[in-house]
Amino acid sequence: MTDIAPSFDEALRTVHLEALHLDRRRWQDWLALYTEDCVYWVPAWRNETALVEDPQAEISFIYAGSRRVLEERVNRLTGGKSLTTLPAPRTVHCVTGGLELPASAPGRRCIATAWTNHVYDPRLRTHKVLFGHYEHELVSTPSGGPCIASKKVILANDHVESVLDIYSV
Amino acid sequence: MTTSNPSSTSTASEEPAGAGRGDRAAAVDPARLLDDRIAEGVFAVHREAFTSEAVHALEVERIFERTWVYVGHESQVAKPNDYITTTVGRQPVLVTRDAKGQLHGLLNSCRHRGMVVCPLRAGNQKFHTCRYHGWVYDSAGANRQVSAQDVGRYPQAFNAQQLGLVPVARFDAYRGFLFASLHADVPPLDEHLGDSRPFLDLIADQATEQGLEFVPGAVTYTFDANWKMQIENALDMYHFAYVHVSYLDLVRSRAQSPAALPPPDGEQGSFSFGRGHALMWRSHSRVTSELLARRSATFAGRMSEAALKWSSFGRNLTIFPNMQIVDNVSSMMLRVIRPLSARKTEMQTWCIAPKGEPAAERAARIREYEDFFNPSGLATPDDNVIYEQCQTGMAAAAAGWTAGYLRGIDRRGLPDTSPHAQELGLSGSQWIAGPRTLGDESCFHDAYREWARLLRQAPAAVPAAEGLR
Repeated sequence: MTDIAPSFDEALRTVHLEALHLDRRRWQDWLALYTEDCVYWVPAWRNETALVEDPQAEISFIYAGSRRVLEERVNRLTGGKSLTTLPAPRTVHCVTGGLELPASAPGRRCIATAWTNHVYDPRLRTHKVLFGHYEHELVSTPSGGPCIASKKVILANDHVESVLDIYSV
Repeated sequence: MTTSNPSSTSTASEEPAGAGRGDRAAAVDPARLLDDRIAEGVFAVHREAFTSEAVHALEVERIFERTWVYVGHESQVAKPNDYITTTVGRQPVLVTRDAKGQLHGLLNSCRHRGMVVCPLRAGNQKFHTCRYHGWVYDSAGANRQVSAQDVGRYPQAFNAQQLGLVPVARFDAYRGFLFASLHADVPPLDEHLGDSRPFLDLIADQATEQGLEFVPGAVTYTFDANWKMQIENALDMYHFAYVHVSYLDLVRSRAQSPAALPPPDGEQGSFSFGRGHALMWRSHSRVTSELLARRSATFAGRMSEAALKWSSFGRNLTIFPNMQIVDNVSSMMLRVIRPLSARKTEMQTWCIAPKGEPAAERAARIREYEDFFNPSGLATPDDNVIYEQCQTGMAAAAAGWTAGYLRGIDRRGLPDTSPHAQELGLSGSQWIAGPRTLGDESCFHDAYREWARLLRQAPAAVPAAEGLR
């Protein structure tokens, strides 16, 4: 990590790259986009209009306080022991509308985007669409491109159909 | 996108064409779908019980709209004028605490044109105004205004006071758990819950002086399978080592000490309480000895020795037909089951916690809950996929009856009375206990006996229009 935030273009490119990694199931590349102490958060909704605000006191769909927790999910998805990925659904993420928001700390670039994800399940031959907003905070790394220090996924349709995982949102 | 509006899923169009009440009853013979000859070592449920839309229609009418069903928890309506909305069978229900503190279960439908009076999931309102023509009800459901009544040329006998929101036929609470029945002909709630009550006590007694709470954050999900798969699976320890192998791998890799893993000499067993309720337990939980000691110290003042011991066991409780509580000690989960069709079920899950527990314990509880019980977690999604694959497989009617209800039937060598039942003060419950690989299936039986008993009831009469003559 360096003190200089990545440029807007670099940061937005990383947001798009993350979606592509998920669609192509390049899990290790996806993990490598995250910092070790990253926060990955899909909050639940308190009610019809408000999201939960405190992941330590309220329920989230997914909350990971480090890359290690994301690695656990990747190991589960790729280990061949979870039925949810036998076979894995095919996904197509569409990410659009990159807009800069104030970052939570110096050295970070905050990017807000809107996303839809088409999920095709070859097992049931069903198609569903999930959609919402992302808020990414990215930092520069000395070794290469920007890394994701935090990702908040706002899931608009929270009536979950059977399974929701890192590739669903 | 399949429908995100659950209320639109269960429609008359899903019933077989031309199937009136009588036709449907004739088409579905529960006796043909359940083979209960336990004395001969036979217990089987026909595959059609899971796949038939006619069976589903009958289940909604004669189970979910005829017996006690769970509708909410007192903590969700803690203050005067608090309310939550829910569904009993197909019917929208409002659970509200009136201005004086009294709880009510009401049909959430305006007496004027039937509109849902309260469209939100929860809130606090002294008055509920129908958005259609402005009729007003108070938080007890009493009609407080028929707008422009004086100039409306109503018939002389019209009496607005008789047009309050209609109460459900029966509404009662046990230790904060709220139940409603749309049919008056049910036993008192205490009698209905019977020997399952000590296990609801084990949840309720974990409350601090401030009580229990449902941790904020709503989780609702569906799976494309029959609701009875959920009833069975929560009582089924046999599946655990297979379906949840990826979760168990994770628990092992996270475990910092062997104490966090179940002991190989652990015990497992079940109780069947009658009226469809049952409990599956194991004499261990996946928690550290430190957390166990801390919980026990907290509960010591309000639990008996026996209760204290049982509070450290993992327990999965099913209150037939729609409520399950899983207490893994590390976290507590309450789920509500709602069949939308023979092959689609909606689930709502809640994390139950003692109010005001230390922040670090609360955070750990939440992570445990999310990991296991969320449809976005690391265990429940595997269950949901299993249900869906079972639903697909259940279509193989040509393969005949399944053999999924036989473990636990052979009682040779078991004592007549259960030492566990005695210390819990259970009187008439069926029980079985054994090694942690027992994987009892006999605890599913009561649910099907109650299911068949309710399905065999005569159709309910449609009530007359009171107060509208």
